[in-house]
Amino acid sequence: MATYTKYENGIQAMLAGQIIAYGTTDAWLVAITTDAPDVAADDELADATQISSNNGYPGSNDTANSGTRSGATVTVACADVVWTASGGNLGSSTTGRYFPIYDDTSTTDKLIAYHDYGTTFTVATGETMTWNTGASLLTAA
Amino acid sequence: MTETLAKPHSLTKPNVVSKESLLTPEERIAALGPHARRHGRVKYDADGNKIPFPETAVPACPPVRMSDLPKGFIPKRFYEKNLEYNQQVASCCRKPENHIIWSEKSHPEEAAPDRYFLRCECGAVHKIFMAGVGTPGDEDDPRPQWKSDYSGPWPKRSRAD
Repeated sequence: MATYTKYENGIQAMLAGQIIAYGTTDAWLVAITTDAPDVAADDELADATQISSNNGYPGSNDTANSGTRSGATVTVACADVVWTASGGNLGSSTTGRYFPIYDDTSTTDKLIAYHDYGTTFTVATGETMTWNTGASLLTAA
Repeated sequence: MTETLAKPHSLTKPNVVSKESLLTPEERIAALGPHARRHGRVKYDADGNKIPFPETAVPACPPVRMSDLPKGFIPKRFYEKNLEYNQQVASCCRKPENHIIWSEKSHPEEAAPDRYFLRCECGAVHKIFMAGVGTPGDEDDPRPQWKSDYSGPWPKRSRAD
């Protein structure tokens, strides 16, 4: 798995009830950002720098997240997210690298965690980028 | 001659240390999580901008033609939603059997590849980033791996590169 890295403020927000992981009450979105995440300081989506909202990048995408419980473990599953570039590089960018997940339902778009692609990437016209979380994005017990 | 006498216990000052202070700097960083263990805390330049982390991706499985792999070896989720059902890509891109596929790891410590690339004959490269928390190789989190005697240059990750 790509490394799932939690934002420290996100843990607080989850336990404070600002981020709801169980069920489908809150909509979690995934974005593409360019600057290195600061897990100790970053708190809201505005603390990260997204690629531009154009050429097939709408500004972040719904993950269709759903949290279910089995025993004492809650699992959050998400649908695959596919971006298709058109009219230019996705988000007019050659420097996308991070995929932060945030709670769009929370008042200030609280950051939850991010994945590091390991290098910057470019999605040229007619190309796609797929963010695939398989069976689950996270588990909490 | 000076005689050194041991102090009674009641007069000694205990040296209190926290558990954290017993850790090395590397161990303290590692305790912050897997990404912090790899990269440390993000640093800022003089203007307050975050300094990018060093790039970490490494090659995993060499490029091969999809049609040369056993049928079903590459799971449908690698090409169904993003290519076959995607009306926004060229018609040639929607036929993955003609594509070249290769994989990389986002970090050398990854247990299995998590970056896959499907390159169409038209030059478009379609990327798949496996970001789940499943066990690599499980049905819900497939990470196919293969070997070949390919020794050519590693393909570009985008036709824009």
